[in-house]
Amino acid sequence: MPSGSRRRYGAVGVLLIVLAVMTAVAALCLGSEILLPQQVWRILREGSSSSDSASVIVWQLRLPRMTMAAMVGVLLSVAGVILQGLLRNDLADPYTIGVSPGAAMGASAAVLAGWEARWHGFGVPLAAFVCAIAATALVLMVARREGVLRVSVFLLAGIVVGSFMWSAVTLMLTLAGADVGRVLFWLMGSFADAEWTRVRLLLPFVVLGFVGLRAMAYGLNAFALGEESAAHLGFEVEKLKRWAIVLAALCTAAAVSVSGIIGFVGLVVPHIARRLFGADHRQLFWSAAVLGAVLMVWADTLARSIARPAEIPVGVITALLGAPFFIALLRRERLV
Amino acid sequence: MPPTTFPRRITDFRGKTLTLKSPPRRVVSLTPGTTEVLFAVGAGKQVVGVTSYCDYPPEAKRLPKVGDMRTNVEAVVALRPDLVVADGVLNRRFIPTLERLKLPLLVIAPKTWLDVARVIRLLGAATGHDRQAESLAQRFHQAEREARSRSASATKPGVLFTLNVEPLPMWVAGRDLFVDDMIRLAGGRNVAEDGGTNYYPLSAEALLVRNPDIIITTVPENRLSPLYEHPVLKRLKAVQNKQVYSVDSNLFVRPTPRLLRGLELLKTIISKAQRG
Repeated sequence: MPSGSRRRYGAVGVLLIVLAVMTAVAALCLGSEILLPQQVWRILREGSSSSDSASVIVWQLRLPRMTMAAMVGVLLSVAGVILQGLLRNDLADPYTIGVSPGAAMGASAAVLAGWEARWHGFGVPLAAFVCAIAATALVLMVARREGVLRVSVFLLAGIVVGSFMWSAVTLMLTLAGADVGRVLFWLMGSFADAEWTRVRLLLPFVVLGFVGLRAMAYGLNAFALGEESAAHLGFEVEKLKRWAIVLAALCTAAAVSVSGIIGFVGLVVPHIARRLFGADHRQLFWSAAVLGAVLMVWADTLARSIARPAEIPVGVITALLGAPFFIALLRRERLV
Repeated sequence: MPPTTFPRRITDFRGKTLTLKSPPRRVVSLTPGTTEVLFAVGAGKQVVGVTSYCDYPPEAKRLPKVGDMRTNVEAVVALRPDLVVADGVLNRRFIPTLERLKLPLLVIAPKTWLDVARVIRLLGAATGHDRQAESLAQRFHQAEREARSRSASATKPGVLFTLNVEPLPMWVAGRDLFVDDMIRLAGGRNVAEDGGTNYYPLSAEALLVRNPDIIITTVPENRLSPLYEHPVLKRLKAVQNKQVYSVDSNLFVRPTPRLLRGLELLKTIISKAQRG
């Protein structure tokens, strides 16, 4: 690696760390109640045993919430990087492969069946996760023939299976009656019910996504040259495709099942990361992850701050924040 | 025949006036609340169409259905109604169609406790049951007067009215709801009043800081266990002091005389909390 680019990556690394720290401070200070940084610092040093309301807010609400938002940001960004790399399509995002409509269907059915209190509150996330994976499996089955996964068919199949399932969700909502509100709030996405138990459940997926993407970095770099070139370079393309999709589906399904459907992050963060920090997947896997976490935590912080004491669905904010930034980036490159 | 005079002109909550030549005999009611009020003022026999959600009084369940929360306009027309009663919020999407078809329409849009008295008088007047309606409406005014005469010095327990406990955020009652008025009339203070109108999602942080003394919820008792297990919710004063009450939502959300029973229930809960 030439020394110039190494210096550049060093600078980028420092920038990302500063950004992440600033974000964490803001996320712990802002919200329905505003705390000063020194107050937060004192609470963090005192430990989680105090029953003072500021301490409970920091330890039991903001910390798990911030952690969960960051994790979901990482998962969606990682899934987005994988899918955009694999499908070589700028419009691919974690939701194009049927995961989110699948999860939406599972969650709606579970809410309507009254599973919200089942299994210590995990009835709905579990149903969402299972249906999300099932939906991706269905898309894979449609797109595979004689052991070959056709990438273009895969995208189309994802969209078709997705619209089918969204219609099923709409049908359920029509028949739901009084439960519509609860289903809708789930669909819009929120971190309001973040808890440490959920954070613990999510952790293995974050590790898996992070490690998996790093392991696939070379393969995805080769894929950027085209499927055939990657094969000529000695990569087992079918294996790579299969594992990449499985990994992306697991990441997205895990994210969606705990937080509902939060759009835009998986689509936009990989683009922003590529433009700011380069398209090499060996860098992209962590620059996109940090950016995804930062954007998501900011979005959630605003979601619980700007309409206080009420909350706004976080998906609204991710689009409000992400879209203008993305447009600015595109304009700077004179692509639009 | 009720001892009243027709034809008469009735002005509804939109400010539109409807002229009724004689007491209507074919009334179609488009919400459970209006159905209840019609039966309560004694006009039950004049009702010919209701929604599939109209479950009170039990006689209403036997009547022909004209949809659920979505009105089946064709079914309304087919019943050849001489009066259609709709709610300006719940039936919002269908009112323009009903107007275009020139159906004899009265729209209610109650937001406050005394608006409910106005609904009762309005539907009583429209169906020719003025006297029964007036005596029901008076009970709403009576509750206002009683609350005003009560000593202002008594401590007012903080009350939260919520539609769910989990998943968070809780959807709680803000301003412009009968429940908000009812909490005040029963001697309490709605801790979520300043946050918004109608039901809105209250952030858990704000919930913790407002720390209500009493939580009233429409969630059935056997589904309240998350309150006692959640790391934040279990710290709330109301949860620790076992001041969480499951109530029948129909006594609190429908603009009907049954709100009076809801108010009595609230008074009992609040005065118990005040005593200790």
